[in-house]
Amino acid sequence: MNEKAFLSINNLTVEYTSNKKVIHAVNGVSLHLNHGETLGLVGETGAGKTTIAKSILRILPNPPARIKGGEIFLGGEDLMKKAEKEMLDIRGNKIAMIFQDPMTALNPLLTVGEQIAEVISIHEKNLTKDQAEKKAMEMLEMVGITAERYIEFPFQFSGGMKQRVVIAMALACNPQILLADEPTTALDVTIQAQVLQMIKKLQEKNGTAMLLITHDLGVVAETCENVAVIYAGEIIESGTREDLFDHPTHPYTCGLFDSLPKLTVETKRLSPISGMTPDPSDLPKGCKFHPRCKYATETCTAGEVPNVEVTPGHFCQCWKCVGYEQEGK
Amino acid sequence: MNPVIEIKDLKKHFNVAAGKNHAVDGVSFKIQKGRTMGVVGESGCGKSTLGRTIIRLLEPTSGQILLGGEDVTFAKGKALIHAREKMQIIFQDPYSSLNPRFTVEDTIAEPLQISKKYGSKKEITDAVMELFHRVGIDDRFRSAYPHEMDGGRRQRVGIARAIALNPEFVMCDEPVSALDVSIQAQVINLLMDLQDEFGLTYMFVTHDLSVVKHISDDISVMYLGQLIETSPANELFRMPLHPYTKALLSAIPSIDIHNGMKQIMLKGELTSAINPHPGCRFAPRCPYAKEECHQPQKLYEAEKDHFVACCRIKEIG
Repeated sequence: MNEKAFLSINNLTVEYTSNKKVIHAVNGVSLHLNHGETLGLVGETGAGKTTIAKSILRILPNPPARIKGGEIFLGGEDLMKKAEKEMLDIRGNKIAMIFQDPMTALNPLLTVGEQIAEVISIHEKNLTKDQAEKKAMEMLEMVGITAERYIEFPFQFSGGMKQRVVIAMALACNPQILLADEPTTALDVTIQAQVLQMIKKLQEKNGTAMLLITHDLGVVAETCENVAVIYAGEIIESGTREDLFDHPTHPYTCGLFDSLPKLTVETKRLSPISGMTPDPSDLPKGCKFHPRCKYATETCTAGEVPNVEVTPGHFCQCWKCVGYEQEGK
Repeated sequence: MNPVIEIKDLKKHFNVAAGKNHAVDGVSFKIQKGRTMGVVGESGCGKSTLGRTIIRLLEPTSGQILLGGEDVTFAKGKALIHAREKMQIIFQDPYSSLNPRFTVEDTIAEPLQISKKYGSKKEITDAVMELFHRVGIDDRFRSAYPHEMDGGRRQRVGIARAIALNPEFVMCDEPVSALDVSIQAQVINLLMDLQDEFGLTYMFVTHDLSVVKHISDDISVMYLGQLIETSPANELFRMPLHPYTKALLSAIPSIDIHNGMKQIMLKGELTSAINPHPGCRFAPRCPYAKEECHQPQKLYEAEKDHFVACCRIKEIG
């Protein structure tokens, strides 16, 4: 579809096996990320967001997880076909990941400086120990932590500071792609604002592309140029930030917006999406969202749902849009 | 009429290795019947400790808690049990606040059994089924264990347990923070419906400002154990006075992509409430801090019903 894209995921399918049940976590997801772009991946718990990120790095535990199909291209090379040894060179070096919970992402027994230096010395073998140490200190300064704190342990840092350390680690080798898995969910709003601003600044400075995984539409609105909405392991709507926020089209996306309490608009009652997210081991046939959708018709209950390009670059996977497109609106 | 809950200069200090943690330090407010007081603040500001002290899960250090005019600050034994029938709590985490060895029915029936208001088992079962129906849990979950349910349903069980004894006051400690947006809206609607139906009075503790604006009549902003601003909900969002409140409101990521508020970036993080200085606790992070901020700050009425603890609001504008 998109040949310019730097990171291209085509038709990725991932399953987990648990208690002899097959859990369909990711069902044919395609995503494209360009140089320097920030793509927001939005969805609720269990939608498959983190599974996608981990598939890109191939760090899903197998078993229980198994990548059933699909391709992931990084600058023209298929990551699925790479040997484990080649992947070591890509992880942390070309693609780095920021994990959700900074409290558990750091080793409690190593000082924060050592942890950053470790990343550097693994990937840049020509550096001496002192040089790696010096670079780690620079990284700390870059994320707004004084270099004197190099010798401190994670428990001596607050949540926001730990997340800065994790970010410093992720950026230590100038990766081309940053996978940020809910990087600010564990943080307070004022700290979240600081961290998001910092990530953005560093990203602009180094030209890093970012896949930002989050459930917070507000964070997406403030940081991402493009957005993809995921539901039950499928991308149901994607487009630019303006497409999604000004003209949400899929009933699920609209439902998400309606269920948020607004700060600017007075609403007496929220309009939640009825029902619960489906059990991924027993997904509904047809459109995965139809049991909760107020527009669902007979057509929605079976068969594959078409992915309609509503306006150029704005895709929506819904039968409702088929007529919409024909009318030429 | 007496307010349902009134607290006067409530303090809760913890002794820690480094000194005294002033987790709640001189908080006063009242909540009238049928109203909701939202308490917002960042993690570590003492908002949950305040809530738990009010419903007497923690022993207050000093101050007064009046429940319908009756002093329950240091109530013991029967008086305390009696008071607890009138004040209940909904916990933040629906995963750890339910007993994993109790079925849903047992969990909701337990407060009914303890209260001894019901004569027979049959009456209790009927009351439980009524509660099931009221909070929207299907009958088929009667004998289910918490692990068999998702977060939204578990939180409904937590709510049913809290309202089982027809309390007057319910302290909601981040009841929707652990839930997904689409489920969060369902639970917020449920809480508001129950309030209308039973005339419940809520204290709603949260860090999510859009949720608190939606559900609250009044909002108190807390910073390191103290209230720094209290006002009717709309007023607070229309015209925040305290520099911290301003920064907090501006930091909420907005879904309005065209007219977002300009962000005020705060330096640093929440300091600690261990052996605090006497002056304004926000002063070290405040862009407007001056000499006079090192004097103790008291809440005063700056506008009608709008209280703030900052001596420089006129100059900040």
